[in-house]
Amino acid sequence: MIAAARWLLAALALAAGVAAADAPRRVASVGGAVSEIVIALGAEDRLVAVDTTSVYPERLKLLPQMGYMRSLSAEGVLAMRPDLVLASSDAGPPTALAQLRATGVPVVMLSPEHSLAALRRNVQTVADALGIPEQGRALDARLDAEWRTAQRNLPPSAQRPRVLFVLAHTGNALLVSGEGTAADAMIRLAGGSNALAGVQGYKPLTPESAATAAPDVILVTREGLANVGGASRLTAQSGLDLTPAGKANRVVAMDALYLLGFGPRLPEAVRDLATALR
Amino acid sequence: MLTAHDLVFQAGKRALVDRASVSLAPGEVVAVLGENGAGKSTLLRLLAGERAPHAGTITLDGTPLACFSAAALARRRAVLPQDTRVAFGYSALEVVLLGRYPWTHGAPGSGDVALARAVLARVDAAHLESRLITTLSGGERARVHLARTVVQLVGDTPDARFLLLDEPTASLDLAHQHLALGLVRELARERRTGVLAVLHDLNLAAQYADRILLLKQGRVVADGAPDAVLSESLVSFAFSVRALVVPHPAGGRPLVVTTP
Amino acid sequence: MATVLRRGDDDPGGSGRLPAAPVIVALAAVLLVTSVLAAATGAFHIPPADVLAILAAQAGLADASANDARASAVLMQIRLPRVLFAMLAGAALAVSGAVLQGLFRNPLADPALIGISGGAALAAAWAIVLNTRLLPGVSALLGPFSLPVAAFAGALLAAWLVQRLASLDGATSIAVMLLAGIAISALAGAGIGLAAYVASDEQLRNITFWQLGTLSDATWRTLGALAVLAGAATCAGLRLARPLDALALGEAEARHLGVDIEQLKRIGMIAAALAVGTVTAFCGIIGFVALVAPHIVRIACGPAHRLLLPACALAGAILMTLADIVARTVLAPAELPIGVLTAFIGAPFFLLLLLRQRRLWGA
Repeated sequence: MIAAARWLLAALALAAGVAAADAPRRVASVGGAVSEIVIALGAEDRLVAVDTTSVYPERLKLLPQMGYMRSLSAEGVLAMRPDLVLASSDAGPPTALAQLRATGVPVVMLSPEHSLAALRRNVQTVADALGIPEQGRALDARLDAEWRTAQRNLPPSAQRPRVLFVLAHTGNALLVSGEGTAADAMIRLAGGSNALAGVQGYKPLTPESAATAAPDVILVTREGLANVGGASRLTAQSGLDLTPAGKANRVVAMDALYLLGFGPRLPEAVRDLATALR
Repeated sequence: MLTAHDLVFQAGKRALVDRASVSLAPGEVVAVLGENGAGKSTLLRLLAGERAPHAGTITLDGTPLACFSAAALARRRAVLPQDTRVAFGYSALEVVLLGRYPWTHGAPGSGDVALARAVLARVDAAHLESRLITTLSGGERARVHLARTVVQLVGDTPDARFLLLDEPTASLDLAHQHLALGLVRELARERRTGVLAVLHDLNLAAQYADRILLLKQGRVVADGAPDAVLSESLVSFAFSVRALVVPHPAGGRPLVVTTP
Repeated sequence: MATVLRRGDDDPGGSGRLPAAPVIVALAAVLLVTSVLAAATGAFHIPPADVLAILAAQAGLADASANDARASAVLMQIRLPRVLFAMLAGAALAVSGAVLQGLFRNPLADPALIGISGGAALAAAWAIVLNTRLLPGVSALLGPFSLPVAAFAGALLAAWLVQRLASLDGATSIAVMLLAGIAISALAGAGIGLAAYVASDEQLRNITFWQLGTLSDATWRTLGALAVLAGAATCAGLRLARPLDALALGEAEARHLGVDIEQLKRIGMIAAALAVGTVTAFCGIIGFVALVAPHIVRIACGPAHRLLLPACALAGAILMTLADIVARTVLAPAELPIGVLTAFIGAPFFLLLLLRQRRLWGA
């Protein structure tokens, strides 16, 4: 909220001389969830460029590309002539963002937290930046309602399944998610417990740590599962084959952006995951 | 006067140079002779200051060699090693001009270039001046580097100069051997330069040297005029061959003929 | 053209004196054209006429109000510092390469190949990790200089190590020099890996950014630090021309000519390490510019350092600026790391050099 207010003040200062009614018309969006929020607010027509992580809905891929969000080029972004840059907290490098600001383009960064509260804050930040606060409040109300529905579907706390999230995006190295990750937050929100408790961040999967974690369910992204070559290949991995999930071949696969994006489809994703974990 | 007194240089326990004393006066040509491993090159390196002797002293006009800065020494004496490999493709003229290093600040001037060309002509290498040093034959290279050491000693200070040559004729053909030694003898006579040259050919030494230093196993076994040093007994002793010495048909110098 | 100049009638001996002026003037002209081209090229379209108009307005020669404010900001805040950064970094790298090659008496001595850049990157990576944890005071004190100072120390240590290992009795073993470079680079890679392991997520992004060289960090602030440090190093390098020529004859020969070898090596190593360290601190490891620029200049103008060093400064600046134009445009609006590009050009070049030198030092 403070960040948004600060931005609004800065934007007002920068826009001195420009009529206050002039809402941003050309928006560059960096981050899959950010683009989803813009679309959910009904402002899709204002998007002029997106990054490589903006893959939902499919038609976003037809928009001009600005490259990977962590290695943006300030000039590449400016070439899209945006009058507003909305960026995930993962966007970078810092120099490029600083250069964007130095050229007078407002850059709005969203909160990195993995929670419903953060999502709702982000929605309002984006809506305010776009000059459509009432759409923001409407979306917020919708998210709130969907969230309540999702909460009713959670498994009883007595039988929280142990869930191990396996990230298999890069080459052969499998990573598992400890605390503080988006996957950890999703598992908790959906009524599961992270099988890899007491570890921070993403760590390489080792056979012994997998056996120790002893998950009831293995959670993966659809892209990751395709990389590994299917659920039976995944559960045959040394270590994973010894776990309850491996023996029962219980693998849940979900779309990466849907599962981990913390965008406006969050309540839906929590509900789906909770259903799958039952 | 370049003077060395009781020099000792050891490699491990073996003395490569063993209590050798040498003096070199401006105006004279001294040839250093001896069989392989007699310590000729090591002695020359000690005199050049490339290696520090384990014992003994070397003085230049009474001052220990170590007291001279590299720059001051470079204006007094030049050294020609057996072979010099230049790292990059400099032209022959550029290499000779490097000999002017002690005397120039910044780029060499037109006077330096004229001097370098004149000396290149004296060693019969004028036609090589724009050839790259890396593409020259061994004999051509040797003449260019000789020219470099000669121009190094040309300067406007009155001090005597010293030129130390390690086998300057090794890769030269007969005509160029005479050309090279004739040039250094002229330098000694006309420009107050003391020349010390390690040679292999006894008869070349006899023809061009004022004095011969005969080494065996690191020791000076004889030091004197060619007539005195190039005796049948000394040559047989120093080189482990049978030697016959007769007067040179074209002049009074000795002529040495050796057989196994 | 330069070969003709060098061996022309005015200078049949190739002393390198007379042709120096035309070569330098020609290179400076090419650099000027290249830099204008670089300033007018990029993802954000600014017509060349507008570039000149904006620059004129900045210099107070024309009315600024006629120009597009956004184009003006892109040119002044992003592109201009970057073009100047590329020029300075290229010049510093090329001169340090030429100095190192002179000191090692071999054209294969490239700071990235012999581990000097690796040493710099290692020190810089650890400086980033330790900065916020242990040494906040130091980084506050040195500001934009803290990274280059650390990188300089790492580069100097690596340079000293390579030199100690590769030289024996006044001669340099090229094989040992390159092998030592491999070992030091491997060590640096491991050290950077370790730093990455203990680094926070944000530090990690900063660390991985160097393994591929990039100019994306070019701002007026970093440009200032680069200009001071790399500029000083380049000037120090340029002054070594005469003794480096003498050193080409060999260490003993150079000493006989009156060169203070120890001082030459000391100044040369410090200058090269400072230039490489500073560039590495800001741009990461950019290989092969230091190898390619001196080699091209040597072919064109001969090896005499009096002309070679300043010509290298210009040629290095040209090469780097051109490489940056390609890096910025080929994947536009995204960017290719410039280190990837220079390696693509430089590595085959190195192999070619190696092939030609192979006979010199045996199988």
